[in-house]
Amino acid sequence: MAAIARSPFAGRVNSNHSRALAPADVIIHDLSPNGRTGFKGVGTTDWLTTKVPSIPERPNRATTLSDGSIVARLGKDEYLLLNGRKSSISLSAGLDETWASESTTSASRMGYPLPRADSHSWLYLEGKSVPEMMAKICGVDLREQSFPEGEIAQTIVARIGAVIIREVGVTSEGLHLLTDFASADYLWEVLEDASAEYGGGFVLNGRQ
Amino acid sequence: MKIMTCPLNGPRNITEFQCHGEVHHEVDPTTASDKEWSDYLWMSNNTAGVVREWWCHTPSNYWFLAERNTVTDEILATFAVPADGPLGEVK
Repeated sequence: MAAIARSPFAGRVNSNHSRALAPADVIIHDLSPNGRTGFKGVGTTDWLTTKVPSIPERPNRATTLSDGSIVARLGKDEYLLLNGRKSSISLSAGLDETWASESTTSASRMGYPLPRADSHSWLYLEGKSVPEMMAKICGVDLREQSFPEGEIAQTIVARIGAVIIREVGVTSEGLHLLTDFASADYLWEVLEDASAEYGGGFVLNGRQ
Repeated sequence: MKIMTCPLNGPRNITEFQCHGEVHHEVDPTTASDKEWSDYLWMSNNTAGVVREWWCHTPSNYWFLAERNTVTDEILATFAVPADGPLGEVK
């Protein structure tokens, strides 16, 4: 299920955002053009277990597959899947197609698709000051000691619903932030303002 | 800041939650009298004391049950909806 819009931040990013930022800054990458999808409902866990090498053992945990794709478990039978940024294979598109074909023939319940590409924008925040900056706009303690690798927080960020994921196996102190697509323009201004004091901000290119 | 503990997501700011009212004993619409059915649909006990309520953690859309004292507004307990069995209306 391909996204209709490329990125809700596309109109905001310009050449000013191509500046290089020091590693300690809050650096915000727009990953919205990358593929993502979701599945939910009774039977989803059983079905997904047969499709991906590993799934998280409990809700609010995420695993990273060998190609960099992320499988995030949001509930007992609810999953969010993020494509690997460097992967040539689209996990989300593959699963969408597989679900569509199997759902017509499968005798067992296998949940239902929950497309995320047009409902959620996707940012990646990295830099040493990210937990400090997020403390200004989010009530959950996102410091590494209390929010370790693979942990997920479904919470409110700047008064809008958000899914925050600390990816497994990434050495930089970074967080994935998925929020309401339609609120992206508002979120842009919030993050620009919140990151300004750390000398950071949005950068033009997606994460390298 | 008032904190509520979500059975799925842990302690969170109360602003992340919505209260959806008292748990009611569900009546069978095929056998209930008109009075029982209208009571179920429209009437609230409005108890002064401990009640069992439906709550929702809005960012994750997770529904659960909570016991709250309506006089002191103290949240006594929160727990997941049982897979089966009664929801335990507090009278």
